[in-house]
Amino acid sequence: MANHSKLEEQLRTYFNHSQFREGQKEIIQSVLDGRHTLATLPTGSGKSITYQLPALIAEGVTVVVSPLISLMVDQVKILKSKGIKKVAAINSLVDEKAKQKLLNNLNKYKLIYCSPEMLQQERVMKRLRQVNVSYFVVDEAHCISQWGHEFRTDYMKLHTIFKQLKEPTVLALSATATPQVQDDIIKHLQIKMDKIIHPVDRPNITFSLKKVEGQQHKEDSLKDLLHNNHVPTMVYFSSRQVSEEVARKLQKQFPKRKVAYYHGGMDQDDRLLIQQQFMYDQLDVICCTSAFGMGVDKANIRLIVHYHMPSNLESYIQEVGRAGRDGEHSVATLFYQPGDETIPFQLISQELPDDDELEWFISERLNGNEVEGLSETKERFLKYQLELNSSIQNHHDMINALKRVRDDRLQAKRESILKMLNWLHYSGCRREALYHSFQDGVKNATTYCCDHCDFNLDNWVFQNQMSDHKITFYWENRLNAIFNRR
Amino acid sequence: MLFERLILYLLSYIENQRTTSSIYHILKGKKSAQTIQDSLLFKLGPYLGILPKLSKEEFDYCIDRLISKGLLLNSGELTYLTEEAHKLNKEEQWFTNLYFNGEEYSQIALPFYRKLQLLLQSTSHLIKGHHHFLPVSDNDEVQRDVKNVLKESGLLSNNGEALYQELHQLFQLVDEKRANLMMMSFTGADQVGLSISQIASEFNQPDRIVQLHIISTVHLWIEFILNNDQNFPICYKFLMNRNETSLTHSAQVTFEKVNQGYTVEQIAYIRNLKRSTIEDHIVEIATKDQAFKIDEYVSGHVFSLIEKATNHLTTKRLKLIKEQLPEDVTYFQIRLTLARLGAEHHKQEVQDGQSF
Ligand SMILES: Nc1ncnc2c1ncn2[C@@H]1O[C@H](COP(=O)(O)OP(=O)(O)OP(=O)(O)O)[C@@H](O)[C@H]1O
Ligand SMILES: [Mg+2]
Ligand SMILES: [Zn+2]
Repeated sequence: MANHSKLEEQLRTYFNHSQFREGQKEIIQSVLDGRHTLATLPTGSGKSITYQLPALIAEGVTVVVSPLISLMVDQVKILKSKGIKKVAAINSLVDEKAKQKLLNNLNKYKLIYCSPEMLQQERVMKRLRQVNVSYFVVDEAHCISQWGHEFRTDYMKLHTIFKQLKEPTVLALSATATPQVQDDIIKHLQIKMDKIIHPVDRPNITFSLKKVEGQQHKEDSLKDLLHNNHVPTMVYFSSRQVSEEVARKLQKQFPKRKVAYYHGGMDQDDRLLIQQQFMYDQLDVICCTSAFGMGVDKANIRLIVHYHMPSNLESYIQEVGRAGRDGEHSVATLFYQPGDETIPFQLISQELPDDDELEWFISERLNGNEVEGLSETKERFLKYQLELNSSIQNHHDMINALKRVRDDRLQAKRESILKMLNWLHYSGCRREALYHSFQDGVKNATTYCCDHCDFNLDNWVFQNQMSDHKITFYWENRLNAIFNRR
Repeated sequence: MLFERLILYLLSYIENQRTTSSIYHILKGKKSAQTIQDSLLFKLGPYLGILPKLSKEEFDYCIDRLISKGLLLNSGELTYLTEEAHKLNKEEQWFTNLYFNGEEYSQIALPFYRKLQLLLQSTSHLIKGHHHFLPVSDNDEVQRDVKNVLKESGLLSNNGEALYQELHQLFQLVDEKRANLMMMSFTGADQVGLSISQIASEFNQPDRIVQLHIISTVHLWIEFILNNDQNFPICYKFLMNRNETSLTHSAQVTFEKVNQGYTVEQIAYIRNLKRSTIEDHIVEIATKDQAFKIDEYVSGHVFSLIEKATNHLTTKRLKLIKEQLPEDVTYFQIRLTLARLGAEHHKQEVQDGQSF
C-alpha cells in the first residue's frame, strides 16, 4: 500500500509524528478522496491533523471555520512554531493593513482560519471566490446545530459560503455531537456527507463528583485536594470574580506553588502570558472561566476541578477534555453544592433577550434605527431571527414569532441544564451516564472509572509531578539567563 | 490609596480652573483639542495619555475617596483642594522620582515595549538554537518589526552580545528595585514573563503602581535611547520612522484642506461636518504644530488683546477671558491664541532643559 506509507511519511515530515492515531487516517483518506465528511473523535485525539495534513498536501487553500478567535490565534501560532508558515487567521482582531495584505496574497497560503462572521464580509468572500479552495473545514461543528450548546447564528449561513466557494470537499469535526446534532449539521450544510463516527469517551479520565455543604466546605475541599495533589491543575468557574478570589486564597494557602487566574475580562497580553506560563509548567494551578478551554492543548494536565457546574454536558465534556492529552491517567471532579444550579439558570436567561428588549429591538429596527446597548449574544440572536423571518409583514406577528423562537431556545437550554443535573444526581456509573446520549456504551477505564464504581477522591494522591518554583529575582542574573551566559 | 495620591497631585494643577474629569481625560490621552490644550496650559503634558485604559469608574472612585477623606471639596463644577491636600502634595511620594513624558511618548511607549519584549524572547530562544517558539505578542506590527530587526542587525552573532550590552545599560538607568521589577515582565527561554498583577503580588504593591513604574521606565528608556542613538543601534530601530504626525485622522484631513486654501466654512461644507468640529481640528493643529500660522483666524491685534486678558486674569477659564474682551472676539479665537501661547511657554521650557 504505497499510498498509505506515503501518508505516514508526510505525517512525519510536517508534524514529526511517527504514526497516526486511531481514526485519523480514515478521516484523512475520506477527505483526500473528495468525500464530504462528518467526523467525531474524542477531545485531544488529534482532530486538527485530519484537516491540516490534507491542506498541506493539496494544491489550493484550505478554509477553516473556527468559533473562537483565541482558538484560531493559538492554532496559527502552534503551526508556525512547527515551521508551517503558510497559515493565517482572519478575524476582527487583525488590523486593516494586515488584512488587506493577507487578502491580496491569499493564494500563497495553505490554511486560512476564519471566523464565520468574517465570511459574511463581501470583501473577504470576493477574494476567496477568486482563489482555488481545496477544502472547507468546519471545526467544532456542533456550533451549526441549534441543538448544539454553542449555537452560533453565522454558522447557520455556512451552506451559502460553501456554494460560493464552488463546493469544495467539506470536513465537519466535533467531539461533542449527539446523533441528533450530527443530523442537524448535515441538514444545515445541505449536502450528502459520509459519517465517520468514533466514540468520544476518554478512558484515561476518572470522573468524580464531590458533594459539599456550603461555600466554606467547597473551598476547604479544594484546598485538601490540592494539598494531596501537586500536579498541573485547572479549576473552572462560571464567575470571573470568584475565579480571582479563589486564586488569591489558593496562592496564600500554597505559597510555594504558583496559582493564577484567567478569564475573558483580562488584557489580551496578560492572557497570553498566563497561558504560556501554564504551558511551560511555570504555573501549578490555573483558575479560569470557559474562556480558557476550547482547543487548549497542554499534554500533562492531571486534574480538572469544576468549582461551579457547567450548563450542559457538552461543555463539561469539552472542559474535562483538556485533561490527560498525553494519554496518562487524569482525574476530573465536579464540586456540587445544592443550589449551584441557580447560576446556569440565571446565565441562560441573560443570554437571550427578555420581552421588553425583544419588542424594543424589533420596533427600532423596523423603523430603520441602529440599536445599541444589548449584549453581543442577544443582538446576534435578534438580528439573525429578524433576517430569517423577514417575510413576516405584521409587526405584531414578528414579535410573537421571535418570542416563540426565544422560548424554544430557552426551553432547550433549560433541558440541557436539567440533563446536567440528572447526571450529577445519578447513582450509577458516571462514565456511562456522561456519554450515554452520544454513543452506545463506553470503553473500560484504563485505571479508575468513577466515584460510583471504584474511585474515592478523598483518598486520591497523585505522585508529585511539579517542582517548586523559584523565579529569578535579581535583574542581572535574569539578563544573563536570557542570554544564556554564566 | 497610592494611586489616589497621584490624582490628588495632578488635580492641584487645575485647581479653580477645570473640573476633575479634565485630569481623567489627560491621563487617558483623549484625542480632543480641549484635552491637548489643557495639558499644555497646565503643564500636564508629561501625564498625557499615560493610562489609556483607565476606566471612568476607577477614576471616579478615586475622586470619591479623596472627597470622603476631606482632601477634595465636592463643589460641583470646579476642583478645589483642601489645606491638608496641599500639604500632602508637598511631601515626597512614590511618584516623585518617576519620569513621564506622555506628550512625546505615550503613543509609542507600548509598541516599543512590546517589540523589545518580543526581541528579547526571540533572541533568547534563537541563541539557544530553538527555532520554533510561541511568541509573547500576537500583534502583527510588533512581530513584523521584530522580524525585520532580527534580519537586519546580525544580532545573533556572538550570542546577542550587542543587544545584551544595550539592555544592560538600560537597566542600569533605574534603581535596583525597579530594574528587578521591570525584568520580571520579560520572557526568555528560561522563564515566561509575569503579568502586571503577578508582579504586583510579588512586590506587594497595587497593580496601578507597578504599571506606572513600568510606563515611567519605558519613557525614560525611550528618552535615553533617542538622546544616545549611536549607543543603541538595535533599540533605536524601534523608534525610527516616528514622523507620522500625531494628529487625529480627521484633523489630518482638515489640515490638508486648510493647506489647499479652504476656509473653515468651506471645509465644514465639503466634509459635511459641523463648523465647531472643524474649529476643534484647527485648534488641535495649532496646538501640535508650532509652524502652523493662525494669522488668518486671529489678527495680530486680537491676539494681543487676548494675551493681555489672560495675563491680567491669571486664569485659563475661557468664559472669564471672554467677558474681558470685545463682543466680537470668538471662543475659537481665544482657544487658538491660548494654544499658541501654551505652545510658546512649552517650547521655552523644553529649551531650558527642565521639561519635567
Ligand atoms: N498522530 C499523532 N501522534 C502523536 N501526537 C499527535 C498525533 N496527532 C495529534 N497529536 C497531538 O495530539 C494533541 C491534540 O491534538 P488536537 O489539538 O488536534 O486535538 P483535538 O482532537 O482537536 O482536541 P479538541 O477536541 O480538544 O480540540 C496535539 O498536541 C497533537 O500534536
Ligand atoms: Mg480541536
Ligand atoms: Zn464507573
